[in-house]
Amino acid sequence: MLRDRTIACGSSRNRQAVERVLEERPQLSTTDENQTKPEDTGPDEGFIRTFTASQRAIYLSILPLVHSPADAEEILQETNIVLLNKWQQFEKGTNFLAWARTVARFEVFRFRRRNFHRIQLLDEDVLQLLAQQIDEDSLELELQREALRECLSRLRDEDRELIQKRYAPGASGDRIAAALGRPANSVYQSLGRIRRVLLECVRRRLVAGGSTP
Amino acid sequence: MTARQELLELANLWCEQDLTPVQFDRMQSLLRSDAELRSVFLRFLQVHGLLVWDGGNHLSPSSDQEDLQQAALSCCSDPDLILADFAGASRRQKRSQRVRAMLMAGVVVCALAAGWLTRDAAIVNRDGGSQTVQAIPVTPVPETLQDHGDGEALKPLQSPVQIVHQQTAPETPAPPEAIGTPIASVSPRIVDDAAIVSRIDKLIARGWAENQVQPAERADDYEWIRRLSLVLTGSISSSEDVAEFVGSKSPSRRQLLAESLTLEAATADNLAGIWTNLLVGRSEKQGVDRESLRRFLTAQFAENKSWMETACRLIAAEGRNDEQGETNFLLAHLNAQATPATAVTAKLFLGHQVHCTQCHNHPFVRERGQQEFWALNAFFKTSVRKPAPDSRAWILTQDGEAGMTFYENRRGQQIAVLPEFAGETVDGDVSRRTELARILQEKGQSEIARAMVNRIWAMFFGYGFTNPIDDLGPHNPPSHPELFDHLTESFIAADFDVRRLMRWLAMTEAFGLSSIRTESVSDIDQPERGTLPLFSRAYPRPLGPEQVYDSLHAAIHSVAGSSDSRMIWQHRSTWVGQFVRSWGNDENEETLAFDCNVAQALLMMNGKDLEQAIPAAVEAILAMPDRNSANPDRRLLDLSMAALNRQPTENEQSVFRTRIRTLSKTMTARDALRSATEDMFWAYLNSAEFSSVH
Repeated sequence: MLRDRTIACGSSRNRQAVERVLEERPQLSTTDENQTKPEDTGPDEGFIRTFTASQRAIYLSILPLVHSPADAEEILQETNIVLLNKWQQFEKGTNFLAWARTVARFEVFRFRRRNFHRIQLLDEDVLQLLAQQIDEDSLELELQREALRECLSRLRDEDRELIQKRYAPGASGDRIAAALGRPANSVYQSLGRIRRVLLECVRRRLVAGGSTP
Repeated sequence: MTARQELLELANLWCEQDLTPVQFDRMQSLLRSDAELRSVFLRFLQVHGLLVWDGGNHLSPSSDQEDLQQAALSCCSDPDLILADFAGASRRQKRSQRVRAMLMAGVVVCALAAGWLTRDAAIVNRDGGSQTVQAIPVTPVPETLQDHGDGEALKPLQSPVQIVHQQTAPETPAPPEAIGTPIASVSPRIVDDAAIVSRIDKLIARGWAENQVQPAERADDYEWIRRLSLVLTGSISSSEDVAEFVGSKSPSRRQLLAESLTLEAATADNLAGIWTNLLVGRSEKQGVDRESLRRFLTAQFAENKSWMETACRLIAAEGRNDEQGETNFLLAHLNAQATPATAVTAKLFLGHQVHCTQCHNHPFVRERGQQEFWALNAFFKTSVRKPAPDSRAWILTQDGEAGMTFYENRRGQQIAVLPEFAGETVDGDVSRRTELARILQEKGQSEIARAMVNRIWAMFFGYGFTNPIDDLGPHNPPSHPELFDHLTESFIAADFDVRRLMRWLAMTEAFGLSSIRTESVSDIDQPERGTLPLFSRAYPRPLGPEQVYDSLHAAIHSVAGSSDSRMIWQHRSTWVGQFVRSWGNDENEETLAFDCNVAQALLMMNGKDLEQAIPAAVEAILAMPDRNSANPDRRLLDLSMAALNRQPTENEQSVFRTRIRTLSKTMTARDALRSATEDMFWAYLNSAEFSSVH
């Protein structure tokens, strides 16, 4: 899973963005520029390990701000490019994730500005507020994930199946609705109900085990 | 409706990209209004994000190994859960009879579980989800279980393949003999086996010393034969074989067993099954004849052909897929401009994960760029599949257009490439895949050997030298670099002799260790928590679905003393098929949603076979003249040897006796005995111990 995301295949939709990043940062070499490739050594092993291990956390700091997995992935890609490119600026021993999240945050805003014409992207002021909120809440990811796992196992079978279908790679709500022969709206409602159940369940579990974090 | 509810509904629709502009504005203004709302909103989206990231993958306990074992464990430690599970099952299946039996079994299991579980305080959790399942799939083929590996069983399988060789050799430009390394069996030129094994032991022991780890105790013969049998043949051992092995006085009995098991037809079948799954997946696809591929692989492994030859024949395959089994591998992966063929070939045979480099360069490994991907792809891209004129078979040929092939780089430019691998470019009127096979034999030996060594090692030990096992490269350093090199070189020196490789591993000290951990081990050697594996104990791991199926079969067979031929290959693959989901991604990947919960597995067996087989087996045991005594211990021994390949514990004996006593209050002594025996058998089959390789 992790691997797939780390070096997730940039779709052609991504290309423009990547291209632009490349232009802005000519020192980043790709095979396209083989002939001018400077001899830099590339990130060291420790960096790569931390980098790889942090992918999910970075992704999850992006997704709530953009909601669409495809957009979040694109921003993650861009973030990764920056991180890899600036790896030497990272000081060992400092908090990698904090640094990565700062970069990611920046990329979110850039993405917003670049896609100013798109509807259904949050306005910058809202983004700003949410970003602050993330910092304040400092959500404990691993605990959440653990809690979510348990909550999922407590769902009714049919609910769990629906969630499973919805989040299978490449799936979407309307496609599932079509496959099930149900109106999209009703599927969305079911999904919403299950998500709220999960949200509530996760919250409770975190409160229950809340003395730890 | 409160603002919170409203916001969550809007957020939900936002996740589905189904908000109207008005609703979207409303959502934003709610977010602006209140910090509490923002907090809830974020947590809601976090849940969404977690689900997205894992691709729905940790959802079913089934697809996540970690949950897998948790489920198996909790099933045994938490009676409520068992009851809940079975209650669910009964709703679905309306088979109260069986459920009752299983409930009984469950209760007994819980009583027993304590014993086994304390034996190894944690059956280890594993990370890696489907990846790991992929890593340790063990797949035997039942036909030959009847003949139990005396070589006879394979004859009908071999002959069609041999005939095919004769037919096509004159037609194809590159007959199989010319493709693979011609040496089929062990060549005399190499190193001595004992030296290799002792070197492995030394290097593994060095890792223990460096980490100050005390290895686990040596496994007893019961544990060892069961584990080896599961690894090699994909099924637990039969009671008779266990008794014979344990009773043997020979000091070299382990070596003898390792040698004879690697020769068994069941082992060739098992390897063929594993590789069929790896090469074309578990699900049936149109235009892919899995059975024919499996026949090809079975013959290759049974004759112990060099792995290099097998790999090259798969890569250079041509012809009809019902006759040339090896063609089915590429027939399954020529879609999407043959990008799956490229990625799967690199992954399985070279241990390179390249699928992402079709779009961009590898972030850490310089030599894996987009250019390299498409140059490798060019070997496959010109291959063509077409239906055979007279039948439903398909034909794989290389007669596509020659010349450059094209891809689009990240700047949107069309780039032309020629097939190129390991610095060698292929052009002109040649058979491209045959050329690739040649280059691999000349320059790719080390990579092909490394990938296979890592995979076979993981098959034996539960973890490879790298995680994932098929992602080798400077970005993913192995846990034991020197050992990995040593084994790779030895494997090459042994002409890619898979059987020999397996014998080396079977004879290592590390494979002979118990899965019970000692105190000092518990903190450091925990690969399931992401530490590097030190192989200081046997890592318990769940059985794959094929292993469960065949082990159930073997257990029943041991008890009943006769073979039940109703369980056949077709049945098993249908059964396994229930757990498989195709992803349709660029590696034609699929996931296996199998949670190794035997209770569930039994329910999904589609019934009649098992529903009848177990009571019938129990009847058979009771009917045996020498066992029809009132002594319950003797009967319990039969059961535990059959199901768990070991002797019953004292605790189990007392549980069994109590069960008989309790039942005798309400029924005749003979019925009580039968019921208790049946319950006990179910209990054993439902135990975590049964469903793990340990």
